[in-house]
Amino acid sequence: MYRTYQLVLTLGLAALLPGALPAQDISAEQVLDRVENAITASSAEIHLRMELTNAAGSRRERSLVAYAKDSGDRGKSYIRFTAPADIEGTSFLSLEQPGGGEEMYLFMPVLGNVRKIAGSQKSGSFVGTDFTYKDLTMLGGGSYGEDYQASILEQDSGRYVLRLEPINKDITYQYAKMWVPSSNWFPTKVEFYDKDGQLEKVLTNTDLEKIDGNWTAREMTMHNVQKGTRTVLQMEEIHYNTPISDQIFTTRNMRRQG
Amino acid sequence: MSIYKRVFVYLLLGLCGVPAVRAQPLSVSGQYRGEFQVRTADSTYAHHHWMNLVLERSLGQDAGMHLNLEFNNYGTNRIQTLIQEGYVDYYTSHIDWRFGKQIISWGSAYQIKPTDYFNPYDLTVITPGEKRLGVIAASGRYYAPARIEISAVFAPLFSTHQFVPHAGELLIQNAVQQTVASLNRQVQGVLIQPDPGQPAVLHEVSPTVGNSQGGLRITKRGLGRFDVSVSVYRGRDKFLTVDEAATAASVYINPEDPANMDRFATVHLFYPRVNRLGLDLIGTLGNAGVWIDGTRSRYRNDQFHATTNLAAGADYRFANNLYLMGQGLYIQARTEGEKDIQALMLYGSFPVLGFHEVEAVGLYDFNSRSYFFQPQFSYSLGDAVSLDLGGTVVNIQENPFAPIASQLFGDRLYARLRVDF
Repeated sequence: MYRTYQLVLTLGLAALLPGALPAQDISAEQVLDRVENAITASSAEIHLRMELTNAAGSRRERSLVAYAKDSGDRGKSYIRFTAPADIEGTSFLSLEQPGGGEEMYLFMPVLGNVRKIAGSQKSGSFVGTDFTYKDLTMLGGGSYGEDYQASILEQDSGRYVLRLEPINKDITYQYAKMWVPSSNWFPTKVEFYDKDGQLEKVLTNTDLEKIDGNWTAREMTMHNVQKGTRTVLQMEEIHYNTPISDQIFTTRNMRRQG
Repeated sequence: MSIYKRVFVYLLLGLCGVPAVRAQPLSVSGQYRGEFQVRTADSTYAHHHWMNLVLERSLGQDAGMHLNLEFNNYGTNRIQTLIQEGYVDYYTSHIDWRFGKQIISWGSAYQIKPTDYFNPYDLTVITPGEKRLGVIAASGRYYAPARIEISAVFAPLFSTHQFVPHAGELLIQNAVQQTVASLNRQVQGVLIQPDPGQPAVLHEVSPTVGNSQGGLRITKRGLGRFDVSVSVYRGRDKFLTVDEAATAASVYINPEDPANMDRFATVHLFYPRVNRLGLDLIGTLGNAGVWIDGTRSRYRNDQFHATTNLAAGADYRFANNLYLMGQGLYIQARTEGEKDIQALMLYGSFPVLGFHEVEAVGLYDFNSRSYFFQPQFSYSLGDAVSLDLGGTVVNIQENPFAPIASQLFGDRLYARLRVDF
């Protein structure tokens, strides 16, 4: 789940190089490296609003606050829903393990209990949105080398278009196309293609802003073109590299905040 | 102004300026549930309403208060008010204390948790184990190094499972009938009948120190891929049972027909004292979640066997968001008159058009062939507003004391409106 929040970090931090630079003659792997290396924040506190639109045009909103922190080789993240009322207080805690893998916990106020949850809970969509956990991983920037093989599809003076083919069997797309401007190495658009090679989803990042010295996409939109659904993530408040106590990332905190 | 007065005034002013001492805003939230049922057996309607009002306030960094008031009715104009929870939290550097009426959530199983010792079930809700009732208690949780948590609970008062009006009486009637039938089998040729003047006596648990409940649990998190807890409990069983000795002693010859030697009996019902030892283990196997939640119980009364209660299950969420859970239940009979429960519980849910959900829960007891099945469609009307449409199919065979006895009132179709605020 840590990579869930790396999404936000990635989209926020990737654009660090000022000014439009011409595309250089570098390999696809080097492009990915630059996207990955653009993530420099060691912690983040993010207040998010999610707007979900279903195929019938109905809309629902959710709000949450997320904390993420790198503690050496162990990433931690904590997310707590603040709205709507029926899920308010529900929280997730993810603790990456030094040897790989992660421990995840769920707290629901109605149950009053912190419950350890399994990896399969990350299957499917992320809390009912059009984002899957794997989408978020893909955008997280931390595991391209492990999960994808990249090739350059197009290259012009200001951007690269990459084709990413998953080598991780848990990723269900056939491939993805990612648009990366060389000005900031910030993925501005990603297309996801299903197993049949048909376009399934499109992610666009807009409303860029420099926050705490880091470029951030204030708005990210994932459009599932096959289902006709859409999820918009809006960053309402972001703080990078602020001290976040390790006590945030504990089951004790989940109970107290719930 | 003397120096002492100045110091005192400055101290007071200083304290008022400390954010932790200032009054924090009161948070108000809650839920309304309105349920309309058609009981298919007799084609009658029933409606129930619940309203929970939750008031919370932070009392600085180290304390907080929580009050959950419930208003409900059972198809009548009378509104019952109860404090579902009302407690104060107090936090020290390593211990979280909670004082007041509270729900103590122990156990990792789904809905029916053997190590969930303290809180009785609210059997007025449709799904077995869905809702529990608060108990007055003092509890503390010590967060030790190495991700060890030690929890202790002391609950001075005993409270039992809650039935809808008349269901409790029905339970007692069933117990009387079964006990009398059992006595008749034991004393062949002599008819034993319920005493018309006093067919049953329910021995309530008096609020004395000797009737208090207590428990201790030690949890180790991150033991391999598991969180492991061991626990002990001393208190009473929350399900009624027949006091066989007292019932046998109550048998007397019908004074109006002494020649016939027929006998009357008063069935004595009570909540037996029990000590429990529990093990609770939850973790992952591959990408699936697995758990075992079990107890070994010793009753402080010779008529009962030592019993084992066990819930073991697994869950998995698929890439298409289908969630499946399966859990086996083994509840050993406490007396010769009861039967073991060996049941399978299944739950599944699947989102529909993004915001809506189809779900179903089922429970089948292989011994008694009792079952419970409840499919439901939850239609989201808006943020935090949903309409549940479903049905319940119930077949209870024998075992009036089984945890699934909440379904004594039979098959139904229902519509339920839920509004969270």
